[in-house]
Amino acid sequence: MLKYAILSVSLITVMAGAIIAPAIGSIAVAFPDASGFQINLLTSLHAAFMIPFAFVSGFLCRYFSKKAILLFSLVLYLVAGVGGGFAPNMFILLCTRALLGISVGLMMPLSTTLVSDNYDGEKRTGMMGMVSAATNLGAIIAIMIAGVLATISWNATFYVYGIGAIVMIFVVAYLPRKAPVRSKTKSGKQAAIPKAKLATYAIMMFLLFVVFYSIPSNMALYLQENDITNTILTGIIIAACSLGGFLGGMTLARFQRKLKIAYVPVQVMLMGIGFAMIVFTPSMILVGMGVFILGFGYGSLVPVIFDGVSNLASGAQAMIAWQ
Amino acid sequence: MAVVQSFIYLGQFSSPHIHSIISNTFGDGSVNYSYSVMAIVLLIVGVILILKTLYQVKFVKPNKAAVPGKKLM
Repeated sequence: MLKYAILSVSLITVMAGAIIAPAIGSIAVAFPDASGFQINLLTSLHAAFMIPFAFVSGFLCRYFSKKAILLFSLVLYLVAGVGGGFAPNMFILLCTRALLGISVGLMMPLSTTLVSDNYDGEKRTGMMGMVSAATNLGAIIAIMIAGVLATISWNATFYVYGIGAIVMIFVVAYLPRKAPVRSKTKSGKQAAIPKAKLATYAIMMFLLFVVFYSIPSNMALYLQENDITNTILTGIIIAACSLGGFLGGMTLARFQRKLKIAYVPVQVMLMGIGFAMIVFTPSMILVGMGVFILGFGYGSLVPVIFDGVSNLASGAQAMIAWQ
Repeated sequence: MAVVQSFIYLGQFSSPHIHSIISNTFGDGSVNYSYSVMAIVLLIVGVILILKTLYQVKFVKPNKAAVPGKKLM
């Protein structure tokens, strides 16, 4: 059951901010005075807070157990996530998004360090793959539910963050409380990691997310521009991206074996074809397929970049780097 | 990994704003323009990478080229 506790945390991390994507159009209508920049912040502000708090999470691990940090961040996740639905104005709504970013920032590094703590060798690699798949699966489920809830009202979309309560039950029941490890990051001397290569991987990851994240953050607006206001359909189309990502991650090994060095160029090409299908085809089915293909390319490239980063660091360094 | 993960969040944060800038630069601010630019750029990059791969397969020694993910990443 420990496995399910770890995977349940992964379900609600990466796409936490994008869950409300199907309702962005409705929120823009509900707050007519909000600027385009503020509307964009709804799906992006959390990420700005996730960056520093991902490092704070590693620092807190020296003084508190991971279970305690997880439970605190899950409470914050529930309050900030569901609380967004009760926001009377755009400022309060953006404040809840910032709090959501803090909670996910604290939570996300733990979802991967818990794997390193509890699994070794091939089991660890397999579990990392399952964490990646769970992340995409969580996005599919949450965005679909959000799309349905958005048909009730924009406020109802935020109730999807109630999933955090189920995760909390798993964490309370099945995650063992371990004493914090204080000396790990201080004692070990880090051998030199090629910084230029690390920077290249970081920039590649940045560019990949700039491209990919335009689907959850802008697709609802794009569909609205094309007179499609059905939030369920919007949710399905956005979820197609995560479904593609899920399958991309699952089929990575097989395709990489077949395509060899052509693997990365083909996936980049697939992302281009996906975008082309979105903008240059009139049919919504083809748009959905385009989003799926784009998601497949994204889901195939992310593990390749992570794998490259892992190869740069030794096992011990990787453990420190995850903190 | 923490560094690379930070860039994921940075990408998530920047994405809507970068797309907004692209839309306003190349068009009237609608999402359609940023998606079109993405499509064109990715297709061009994809073609360049595929041509580079073909060149490697044809002209570079096999022991250098046949390491999956190493040469291009």
